[in-house]
Amino acid sequence: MSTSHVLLGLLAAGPSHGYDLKRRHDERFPQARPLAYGQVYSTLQRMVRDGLAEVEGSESDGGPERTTYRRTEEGARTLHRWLAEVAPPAPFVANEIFTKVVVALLSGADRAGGAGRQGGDDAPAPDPAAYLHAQRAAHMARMRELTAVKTAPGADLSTVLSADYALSHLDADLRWMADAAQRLDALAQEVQAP
Amino acid sequence: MTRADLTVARLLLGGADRREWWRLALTALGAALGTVFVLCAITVARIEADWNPQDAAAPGWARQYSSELLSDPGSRRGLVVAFLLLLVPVLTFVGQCARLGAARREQRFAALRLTGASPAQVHRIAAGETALVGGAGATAGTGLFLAVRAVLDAANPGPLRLDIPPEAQGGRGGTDMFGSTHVIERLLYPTDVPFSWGWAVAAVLAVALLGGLTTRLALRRVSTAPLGTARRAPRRVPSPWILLLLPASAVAAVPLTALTRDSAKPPFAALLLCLVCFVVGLLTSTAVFSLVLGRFAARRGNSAALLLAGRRLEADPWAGARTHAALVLCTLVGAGTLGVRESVLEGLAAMNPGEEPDPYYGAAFGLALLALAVALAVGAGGLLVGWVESVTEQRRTLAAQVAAGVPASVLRRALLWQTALPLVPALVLAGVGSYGYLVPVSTGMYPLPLFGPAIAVAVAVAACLAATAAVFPLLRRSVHPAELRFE
Amino acid sequence: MSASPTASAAPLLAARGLHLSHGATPALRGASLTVSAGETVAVTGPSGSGKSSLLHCMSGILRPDSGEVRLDGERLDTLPEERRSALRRTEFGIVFQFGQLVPELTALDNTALPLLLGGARRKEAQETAGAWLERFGVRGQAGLRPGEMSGGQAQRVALARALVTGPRAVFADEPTGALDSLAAEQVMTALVHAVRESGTALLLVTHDARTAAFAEREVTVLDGTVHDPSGRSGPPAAASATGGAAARRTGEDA
Repeated sequence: MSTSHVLLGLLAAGPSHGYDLKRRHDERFPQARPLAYGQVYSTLQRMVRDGLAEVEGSESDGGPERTTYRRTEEGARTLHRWLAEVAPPAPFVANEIFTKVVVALLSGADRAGGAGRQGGDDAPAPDPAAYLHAQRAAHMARMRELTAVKTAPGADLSTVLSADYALSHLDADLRWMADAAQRLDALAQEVQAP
Repeated sequence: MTRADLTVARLLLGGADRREWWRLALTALGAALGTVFVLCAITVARIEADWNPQDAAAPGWARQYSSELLSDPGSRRGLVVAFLLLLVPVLTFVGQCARLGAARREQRFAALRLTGASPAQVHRIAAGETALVGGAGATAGTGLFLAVRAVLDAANPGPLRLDIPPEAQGGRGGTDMFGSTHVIERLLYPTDVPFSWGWAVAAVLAVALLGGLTTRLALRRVSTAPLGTARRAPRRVPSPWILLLLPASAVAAVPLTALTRDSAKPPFAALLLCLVCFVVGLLTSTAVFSLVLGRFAARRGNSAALLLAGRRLEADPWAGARTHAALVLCTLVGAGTLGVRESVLEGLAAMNPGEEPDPYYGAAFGLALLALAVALAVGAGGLLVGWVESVTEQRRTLAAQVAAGVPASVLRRALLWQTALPLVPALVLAGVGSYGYLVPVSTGMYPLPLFGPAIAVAVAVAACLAATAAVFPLLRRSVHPAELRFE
Repeated sequence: MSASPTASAAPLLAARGLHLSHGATPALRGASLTVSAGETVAVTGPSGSGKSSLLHCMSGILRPDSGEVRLDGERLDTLPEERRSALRRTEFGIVFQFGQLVPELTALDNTALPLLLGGARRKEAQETAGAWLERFGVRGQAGLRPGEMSGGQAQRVALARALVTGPRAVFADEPTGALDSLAAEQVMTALVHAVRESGTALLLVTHDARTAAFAEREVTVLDGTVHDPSGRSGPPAAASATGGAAARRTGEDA
């Protein structure tokens, strides 16, 4: 996904200028990171360069001058191609949580194997179980936040669905952490095997 | 019973589905039958006696009837008691109906408890349900009674002209002012007793109330927990030693019986105690036979049907104990009645050779046997209802067995064994036990009967097996592979 | 046990040192939990940890073998069965995974049932029940029996029934356990909105993190004791010493 695809979608409704596009984006994707105006501007310029959009004209109703952009035929085709494209499933095989667990086990093994070799290392041994426990609590706290947002009075469907998207992913992380926590000992044996 | 309980009971009735209707219809049928019996008893009790002022020598006699059963005040009392006794099998039947649909009932009770109904309230609601259905059935029973009454009224002979002077007959009639013999009316049935709506309402209410109380009693062991774990409180395994009551009471009765013949003050109380002990032993015996014979059949039996039946009996020896008790009691009384009848008729024939015995005896015994036949039919009906319930609840298991290759005929034979193993020995014992009171009655005056009790036992066994066989069509449908599919 | 919304100092519900065994199997071993008025608490934990037993004891369905449960500071567990039943139709509402509706009754009568059992007139009870069905969006199903409704609709009716008496606490044991995820989301949202608006406390037993996230606070039940990160329910008896093992097992209950 790229910003240009989202902007092409927003331009489908008709020609629009940069600030308006940013406003509509933030409105439509309330839980996403807000677009920076500079990013909108540079993306639009790149789209014009690639022939996906073109300048419709400039207007200034008493304020600063604004450039209005329009989608080209090529832009529409590119957008449709992207929309029909299947997103690569489960792209993030390596993730921070898993990496931390493995590294913690590795460093734990180092300490066990070479105690006293590195003088002055008095830091407590890393405890992957405690880490997972803390990570779970953080995940749950975030899930409670997101749930509170979507159950707030007057929350619209966009808010609910975007929160649900994040919740599903956090939930998946939790499930994985639960399984991992149960199999830590076996993982430690595997990782620490000489 | 509060208004709230009745409201909820009424709502539950309103929502009963097809399977529940079966239970409710049977309950109503029992109540209707019970009402007919109560109304019959009331009618006989309300017979106008001393109708003929000239008959002052025999107070209490009702000479307007052709049968001495109705004329004789003593036998009228007996009739009233007999009609009321018929309520016992009927109420047993109603109680049996309340226990139908156990799985559904468990869910209903648990849901009510969870919503805040107390255990007593749940039982009150169930009793209220039966009372409402029983009330409806009892009302229908009143209609049935009125219909039967109309038929009997039509069957009553019209006014009869008799040649014998009416005084000699002691019947209704006499010499009129012109000195001529006039028409006297003798009735076969007491349809001259006016139908009383007041008594009918009382009977309907009484039957509904009794039905409710019976349900309360039948469900007393069904503990209700809000978590849906309602199950019968565990019952003790029957102890085979209870069977010792039978020979012990019989042996004790022998010298007592001898005393009744010789002594001026017969020890009736002691004899009664023996009888009570015997009956208690007899009523418990089916559970003992279920356990002992079930275990034996399961271990030693060399057929699949025996194995299945034995294991099921062993698993729940008290299943059907109530129905069994009604059947055993019925057989005991039936064997005794047939025995007494045989003795009396033979004795009369021996005393007055060549004479027709007094039709009074024939009618009296006929009526008693009719009552017993009704009781036996109701008892066998209860057995059938129990089997229907059991087959319906286990239909998936049964279908799975058939699908796995158990022939349906084996399942049928297993059901027959399940009926026969506990009941046949108990019924035979009941027949033997009837001699307990046949012997004192017969000694001296009449010969000891031989065939009567045997016939009673045979009829009872046949009725039980027939009631079991009546469930076979349902069994055939229940083992259809379609039952294996999840609903 | 009068309603006193100002008494926020005393907890609405307080369980202390609950022990309960099902036969020889211990379900609770010194479980303690405090719930304030209007608070929503999720109880999570692996299956068999005793979280349902905790709910059953705190709602008065089961009587603990030892320990105590207080409602507004008054002992609840020592009340006779009749009084505890009465509590369930006045102070508490209860929702299970399924099967808590009476199969013979329509949605409307099921919802009106606690009022009817309490002696209310049928018409008034039905009016109140109808309003609650409306509230949960199942007014159109008022005439249907549980067997004729979808699982989600049946759970909404169960929620309406749990709230119809204006209870002070709702106990929900896996209320979405038998539903697909969209129906589950809708049922939970409806429940949370309802308890929030009426100031009802919610004790929510679930093994599902997404469902648990609907509550403001989460406690975990492990081996029959409660682990409360907020520390408000007191230390778990004896179990806190096994910090590492407990922490490791905490990971199981996602």
